Amino acid sequence: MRTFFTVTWLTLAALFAAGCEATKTVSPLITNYDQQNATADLDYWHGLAEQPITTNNDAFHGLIELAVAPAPGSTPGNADTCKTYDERVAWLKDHQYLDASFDRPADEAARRGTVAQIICRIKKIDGGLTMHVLGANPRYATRELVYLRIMRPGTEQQALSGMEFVGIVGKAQDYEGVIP
Amino acid sequence: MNRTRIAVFAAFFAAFSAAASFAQTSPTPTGADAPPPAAPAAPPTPAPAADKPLTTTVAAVTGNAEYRLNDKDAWKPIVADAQLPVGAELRTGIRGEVKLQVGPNAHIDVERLTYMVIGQLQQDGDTLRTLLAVQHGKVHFKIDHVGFRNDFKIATPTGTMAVKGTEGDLTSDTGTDITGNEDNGGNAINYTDSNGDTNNYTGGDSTDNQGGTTTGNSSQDTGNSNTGDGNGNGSGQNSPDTGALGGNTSNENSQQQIQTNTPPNEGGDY
Repeated sequence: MRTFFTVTWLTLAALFAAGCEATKTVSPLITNYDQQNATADLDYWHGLAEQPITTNNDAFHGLIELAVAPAPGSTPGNADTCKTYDERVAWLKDHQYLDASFDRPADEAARRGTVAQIICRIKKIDGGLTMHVLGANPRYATRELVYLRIMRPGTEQQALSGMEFVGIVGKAQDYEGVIP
Repeated sequence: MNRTRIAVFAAFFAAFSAAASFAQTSPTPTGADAPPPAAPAAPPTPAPAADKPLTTTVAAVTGNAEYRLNDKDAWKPIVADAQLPVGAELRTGIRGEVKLQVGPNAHIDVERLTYMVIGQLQQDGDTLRTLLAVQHGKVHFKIDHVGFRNDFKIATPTGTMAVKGTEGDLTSDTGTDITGNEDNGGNAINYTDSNGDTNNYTGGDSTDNQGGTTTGNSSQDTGNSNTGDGNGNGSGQNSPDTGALGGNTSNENSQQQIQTNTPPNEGGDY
């Protein structure tokens, strides 16, 4: 009887733990293309818009492009010099766009809160009183971008489709400190 | 008896958990199993025999931008002064922008991260007919009166905007946002969503701006607020919005904004 209880509860615990796991997917997009390859850059952005889920690797590549303004006169293309996901995470942490504690895998669905936090730091969006006090944590960064109409309503834990992510980056690119 | 009850209890929770686990951890199908991408912007219908074909001329290009003549053609960089035929597809990068003269009456700025198709462009008697299909991205439009009737439309995956003659912006991603100038008059912008519901938009109707209490936007959310479903497709729970007016004193452009999300509901009264 005791063994039966143990097995039952272990099974339940395993199933509940698996149920809390974040969405993972294999992205077909290429993110380590040559910096001068303008067509590959456009293939990335417009291919991403057709993906049902934006992975961390796809999101971080796009956000680094948002952060890095190309040098004047340079060939338009890829501004992300990182070739791997680990390099992208390190780059974002070095520039303090991403929390040092971030440790999610490349193929996991990017969360709205993580994306919002990075965008707020890239665009220097200070937000209201709470963000001034607590900094751009995922929860309040998401709420701030919803307020600014850069993001559509939702929570910081949700995943992003490719179309949503491309739309958010586009609106962030438009943001010039003016409330819409 | 007690053992049977425990077994039933365990089986129930195991089934429940398995369902939750499957919903959250199933890898997204790719390749042949992948669901079709989001419904494309209304594919441009080949124009019927035109009285007089018109042209689209590239006035200026900034940043990364490419075009192709059809979906079997290779992408090529867009250069200034190029002529783009009906059916041409354009796409821009994160800092790309293309300024177009579309026929004699329309100035179009194809802005960042936009995918657009020139669907129709013709002079039909005394009417200039233009249809642009914006899959996603942002375009700035300025439609002039040049002695003809304007039949200018921009189709997005969530609806179609018709413009009689004014200036504004259209942004399309999981929904469509339209921002028109405050001096729009006579229902200058008309938006029909994917449910077939039509709304006329007149800039002067804004109660916020007529009241003189604010100097900025009047904002009307006419679609559903899309809060996503947690699976990344952003097409889940929708909370109807009643289209409340809201003022904003920090905007200097004195514009109005219409925002619709996917799927649009019956909309508000602009």
